[in-house]
Amino acid sequence: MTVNNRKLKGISLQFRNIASRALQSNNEDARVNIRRLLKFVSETPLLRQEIDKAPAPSNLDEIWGEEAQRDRITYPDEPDEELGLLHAILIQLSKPDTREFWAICYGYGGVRHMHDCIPIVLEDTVGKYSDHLRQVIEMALLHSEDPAYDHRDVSVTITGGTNQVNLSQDNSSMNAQQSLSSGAPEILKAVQEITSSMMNIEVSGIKNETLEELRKTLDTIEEEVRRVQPRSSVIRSAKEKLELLTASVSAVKSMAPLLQGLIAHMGGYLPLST
Amino acid sequence: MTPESLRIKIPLDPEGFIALQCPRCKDSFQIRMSDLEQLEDPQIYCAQCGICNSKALFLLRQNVRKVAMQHAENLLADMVSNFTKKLQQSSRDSNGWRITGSKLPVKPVSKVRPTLGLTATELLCCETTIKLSFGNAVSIFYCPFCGQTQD
Repeated sequence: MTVNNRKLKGISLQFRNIASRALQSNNEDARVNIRRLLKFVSETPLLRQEIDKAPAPSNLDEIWGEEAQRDRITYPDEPDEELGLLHAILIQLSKPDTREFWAICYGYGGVRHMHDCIPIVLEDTVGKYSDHLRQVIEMALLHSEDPAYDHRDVSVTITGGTNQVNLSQDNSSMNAQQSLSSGAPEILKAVQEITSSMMNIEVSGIKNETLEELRKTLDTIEEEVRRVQPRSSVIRSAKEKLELLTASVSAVKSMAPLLQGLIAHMGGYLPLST
Repeated sequence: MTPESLRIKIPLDPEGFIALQCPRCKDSFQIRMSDLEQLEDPQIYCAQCGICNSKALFLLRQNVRKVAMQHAENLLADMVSNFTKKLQQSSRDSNGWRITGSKLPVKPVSKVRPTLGLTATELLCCETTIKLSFGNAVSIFYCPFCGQTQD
């Protein structure tokens, strides 16, 4: 039987709520609460199937009959036999009886006080029964699939960095769309502008070593930005080098704003935390 | 006789979590005190077995119970001592007989200590954090506030 994850979670919650109520019952509402629990089990195929598999006890009267000694229940070794026994006892307990509920529980486990014997009987019957069936639901949950999760298509927009985002949950796939506030096209454009400026403008005021350094830095930036996964460490060190070079080329006034523009674009391209 | 009330302090852990114990399965977990205060529902779900019960029962952990019993025993000893003292005083003027008694000793009461060492886990359903013991390799647990299964 395949039940999806969400439905199972709903069954689990409903079942636990009904079981909780049955466990907290008193003399007045114990029978009706046990009947509700049995009704829920019989109407839930997953649980019903488990009860059908559990063998019914052949000696119920000896264990839970009117004449039975009210010692604590001796449970069978096999879990499915235990479930069958508990189900049979709960049916007995839920039946209308001329005796009050407390009178049936009275003396169970050697307890002589009416208010104490009811919770003990409920814990030994409803409590153990609900533990069995809760485990059945939990096992089904662990083996379930959730179509709602599997067909999820999440779009994530990341601004301001080259951060690589790896997101996964269960078997879901996630399509991440990255939109950069200052992305690679702007950087490439700025690099090209500076390179062409260096050819056109009068650069006599700048040392040859400085110009060579600047060219190399621009090449590094262009190469790195064109990579599939640009490395932020390389871009960061290139940005720092550009900042130093800006001071050296300040003599050429038309160059400084271009370099500052490129530095600003690179700042936007780096992860926000750096 | 007027009923006596006892006040027992239950300390929070350094992050403001209070320890609770399921009255049924006896497993412990922690929730934020602020979450507990805001919770209108008188019942909460056990994070481990998922069965709900009254908030007050969850607060009565074994060590809280122990401290409460120590307080109660001392209170009883005090009441018996006071009663004996009154009898002694009233029998002082009687001819021929006298009641004597000694004060019952008051035992030292231990303090409730905060629970430490549980692992914090986020609950997406109620947007909060609880602390659980994952020692038994729990793969499924429940939100104490709404009862949703967490897996």
